[in-house]
Amino acid sequence: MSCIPATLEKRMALRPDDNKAGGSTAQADRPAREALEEVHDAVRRAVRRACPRRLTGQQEDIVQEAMIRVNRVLEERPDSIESWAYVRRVAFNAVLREIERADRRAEVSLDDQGAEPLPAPDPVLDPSASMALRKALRECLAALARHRRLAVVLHLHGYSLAEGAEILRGSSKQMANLRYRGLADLRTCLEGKGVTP
Amino acid sequence: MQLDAEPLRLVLIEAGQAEACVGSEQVWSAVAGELSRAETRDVLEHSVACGACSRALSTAREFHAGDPPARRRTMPPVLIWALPLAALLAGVAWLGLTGEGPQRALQPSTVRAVGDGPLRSELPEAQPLSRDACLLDWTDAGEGARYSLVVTRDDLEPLVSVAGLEASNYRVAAEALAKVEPGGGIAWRVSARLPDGRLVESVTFFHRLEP
Ligand SMILES: [Zn+2]
Repeated sequence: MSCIPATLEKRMALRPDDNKAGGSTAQADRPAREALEEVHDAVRRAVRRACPRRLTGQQEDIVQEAMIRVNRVLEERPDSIESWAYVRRVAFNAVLREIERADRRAEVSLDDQGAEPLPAPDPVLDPSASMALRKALRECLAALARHRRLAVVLHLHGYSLAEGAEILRGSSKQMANLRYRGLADLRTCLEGKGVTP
Repeated sequence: MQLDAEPLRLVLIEAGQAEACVGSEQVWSAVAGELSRAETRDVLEHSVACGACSRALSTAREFHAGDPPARRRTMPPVLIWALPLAALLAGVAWLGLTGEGPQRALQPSTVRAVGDGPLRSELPEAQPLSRDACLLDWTDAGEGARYSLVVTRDDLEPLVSVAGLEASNYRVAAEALAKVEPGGGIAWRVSARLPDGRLVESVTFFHRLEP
């Protein structure tokens, strides 16, 4: 489902500069719409990735609120020379801001209830277990040799070996080695602390 | 024990913001390949202790998901098609964006634009701006140029809009920044009307105010 307002979509399709670029309206409006959808998809993916699990139920609200901000950008600056790069950047800020807002709302509603959070079997959702795990993970990551730690962090955030190698200035093979050893050290350390992610 | 990446990443993004946070703009720059390798590594190190930056990292990665590693400053093809032709023809600002290789530190202060060249910021984006001495500075577009400047909050709330500036810098009054929370973000862009009537625009620059 698209949350791009119909008026905006129509106006994007009629942008004269797009017509010039594409040669015809049919050719021109398709990429603009696709670009909008691309930003929307990226917002959705980003929220899914960056939303703490305690806010899982609010993901769709966060996406909608972030897209409202993005749409405001497009309404105000449709012909900006760098509008697409700008939109992407604004969408990034919007996602983070909306996650923060949702987090604050969640804190307030928990305070309002004045009740203790229900015990949860999932360590990520159980605040005390989550905190213990987080503390152990940080300590264990901090104890790794720097390049192994960086290789692990890159791995956790989905960087490929080639991307990681570029940042660490090494080969993919060296990167694979660092990652392997880093994960092994991390596993040993976490086991030593008696925590399992 | 098997170590899967995703549960560990989820633990990292659960945390709160570290006290000495580098800020989400720095994370964006790191993911976009705008920082040096050393700076990128510092951001990654910091993210281990900062949930906010781990979330920013995960978010920025999604917005750069389609970028080829070697050309991280390039727009996805579909977005290039959506660029107005006029912008492409005038397209100096865009060339300014794509001309940088990945992981090369952006050094706007060493790149001086002349004549109808691109307008660039003289301020590193990673540098937080002081609320009481918020001097925006950009490259000189040549004699006789008149500048227009728009400053907004990073959610586009307008803060300042001035035209007809003769100097290639502008001090934003502290009162104009009252609507920006401590550590909050601003965005600004500048355009120059050249003596021969041509208009040159900058890209948009993002900064954090000091906390
Ligand atoms: Zn941080």
